[in-house]
Amino acid sequence: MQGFKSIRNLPEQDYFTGGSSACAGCGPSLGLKLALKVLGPETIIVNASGCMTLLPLYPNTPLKSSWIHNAIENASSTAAGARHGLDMLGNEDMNVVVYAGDGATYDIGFASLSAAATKNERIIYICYNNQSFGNTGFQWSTATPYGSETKTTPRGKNNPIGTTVVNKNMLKIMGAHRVYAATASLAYPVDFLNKLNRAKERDGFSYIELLGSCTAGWNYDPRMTIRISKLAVRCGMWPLYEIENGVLTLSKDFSELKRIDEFLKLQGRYRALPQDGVDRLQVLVNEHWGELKEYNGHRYV
Amino acid sequence: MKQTLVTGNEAAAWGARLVRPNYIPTFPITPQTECIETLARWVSDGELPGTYFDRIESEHSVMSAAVGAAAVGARVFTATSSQGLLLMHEVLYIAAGMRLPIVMATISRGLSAPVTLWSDHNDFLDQRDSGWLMFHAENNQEVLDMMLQAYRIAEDPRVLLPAMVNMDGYVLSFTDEPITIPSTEMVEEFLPKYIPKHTITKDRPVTVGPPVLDEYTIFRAQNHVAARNALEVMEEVMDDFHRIFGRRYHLVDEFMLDDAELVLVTQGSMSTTAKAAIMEMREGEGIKVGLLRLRVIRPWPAKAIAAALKNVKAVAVIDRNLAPGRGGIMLPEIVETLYNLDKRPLVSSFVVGLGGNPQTEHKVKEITRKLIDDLETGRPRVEWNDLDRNYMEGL
Amino acid sequence: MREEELPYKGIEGIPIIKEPGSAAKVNRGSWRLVRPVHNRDKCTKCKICYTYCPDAAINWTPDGPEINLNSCKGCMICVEECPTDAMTEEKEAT
Repeated sequence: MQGFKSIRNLPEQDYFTGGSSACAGCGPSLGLKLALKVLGPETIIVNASGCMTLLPLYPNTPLKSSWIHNAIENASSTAAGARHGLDMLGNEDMNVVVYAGDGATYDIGFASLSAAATKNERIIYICYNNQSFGNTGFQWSTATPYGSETKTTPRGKNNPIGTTVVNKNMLKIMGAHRVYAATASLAYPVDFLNKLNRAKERDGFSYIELLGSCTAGWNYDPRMTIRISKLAVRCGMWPLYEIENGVLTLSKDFSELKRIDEFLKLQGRYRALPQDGVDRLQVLVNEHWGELKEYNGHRYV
Repeated sequence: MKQTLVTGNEAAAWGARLVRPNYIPTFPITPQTECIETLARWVSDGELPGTYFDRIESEHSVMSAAVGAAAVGARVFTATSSQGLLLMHEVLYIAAGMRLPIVMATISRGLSAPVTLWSDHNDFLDQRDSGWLMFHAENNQEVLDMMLQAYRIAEDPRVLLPAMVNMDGYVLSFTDEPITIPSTEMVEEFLPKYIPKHTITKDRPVTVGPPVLDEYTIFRAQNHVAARNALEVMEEVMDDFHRIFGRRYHLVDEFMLDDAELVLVTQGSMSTTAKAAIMEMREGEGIKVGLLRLRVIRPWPAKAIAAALKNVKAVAVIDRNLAPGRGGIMLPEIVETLYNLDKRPLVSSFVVGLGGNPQTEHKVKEITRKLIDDLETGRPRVEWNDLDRNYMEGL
Repeated sequence: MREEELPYKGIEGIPIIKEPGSAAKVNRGSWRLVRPVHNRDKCTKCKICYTYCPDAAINWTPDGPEINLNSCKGCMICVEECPTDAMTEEKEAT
């Protein structure tokens, strides 16, 4: 299908309203608003417990589509059940879309996700990755980057770095499930929605991971949500790429990356990271980017 | 309609087959596995058109998938046992709170640790506060019959709650018994098509499972009222079941209670053994003993139980389960039910049959004799039926 | 209330939300410390402010963006991202 070319020709219809209790400038809320532009009202958003669970608050919801919130670790299996229920009742054309945070995706819901992906269930899985357990107030998850301070990896005398574990390479894992896997950014909505349309066309499982900039947890001025999202892409902290049939394609290629300092300095979670921590993080980012460049256009998993 | 020999697992599978569920999510666990294997075979052979049989990676996900399918209006069946039922525990509350009439066969097996493969009722009774309707069958015919009744009760607009049908592992699950399998036409007459009004459809966007603020107590109370409504609905459904299928069921199973002075309160398959022992004791020794079998655990049929026990002298509550530090789980439920009667019987407690320890007629007679002693001394007891003190001390 | 007095509300007693988009009427304007102000003369109708608003508080009309102050929480993404300075901010009276 013809992809969207620019922000100007994105759909003008929204299936998302204001009035939710999400923070001002919330990245994941914006992600859902954008996603619903191409998903439309005949969609069931299956949510895993997290910040987004509070979008609907009885008796009001900002969504004009359907929504199921079950628990935190079971969005994929709930979605698979909904998918088969719809199919058996003749509603094959409805979309079933998971919208879950990274804690629910990388950690507690990983078994359920892996099974649904392996079975190639006709589901679109969008992980809004705010690199933490955000709704409980910003605790460490396996998606938290090296060097980020969280409430359960606080910096202190015995731990100047904060998070010392390097985050899980989720895209590679999902790519190895032989599904469509892609990263996306709020600052590149055209790319995001084209990927979503790509996923919608597929007769099987798709995994899209959106960097869900989090004003409260990352500790930045809400107005910076898009700026920070863009910087994450430009400095290689959040490269945009997709993996299909094991082949990697960079969606945004840059001859030179910006240094990560520009991205880090805008956020409280990195503010006190010592220089050796910054240097180590820069090495990790360069290594990952180098790997992606090396495999761009080739079989990656 | 046909007569055939089937195991308890197969009887549950037949129940599922006859109600034509749209979706069956599954995960294997002993002793339930044969139930889902039977269904998988029928699906492969084309015997279950309109059903999607799903293989899932855990019981937690099985119940989650059941919720997903039921939330879009599908009729759902699944089955599990023991640790699997415990793994589902979180989602059981969610299914009930969302008022989704999922029906599940549970095949009881004792809980770990230590590991046992054999039956007791701790796994089933652990779910007693989950909001599900809970039925416990005595034999394989009742397993099938209860499955059909469970769907009709669960899907009734006055109820809209999920339901479990329990049977004892091994004793029923793996034992062939002759049962009557009703015809599809009879089942269709008994069980109408499920037309949900509160679930998601294409032209009706619905938000399922939102957080609430002040309304929480209201919704919890509605869950309670719906469960209480089920008692009335059950009586109607059991009447209708009798009309169509000819087999009569009640909220509680009363056996030789008309003139009984002593009553054994039981659950599940050991009731059959106990009934045989009771007939022998009545004929041989002239003991006026009867039996009350709990077949509906939730909602609690307090009135029916109190009515059955109001004129008896002594009751033995036989618990095939244990709440360590408390005792038998059903004991306090029975005692509470009898507490406000004008004339209360003496109540003794017997903890029996843990991990499949077989309950013979001999053991039932022993319990009865102990109950007679208790009545004479006026002192109720708490008794462990299957323990040999010398053996225990020699460990 | 005695137990036997508890009314049964049928499907009205089930915790679902049946009105899609009903949150639109909820006022979040009270969260704002600053408000966005749109200057039509500088606007190129690029749709950036409309696209990036996380609360769908900017409607798109043939005349360009229209700010819904009932929904706007005052995050100022629109002000930050506007390429032509057509969006500016004003302090809310406290």
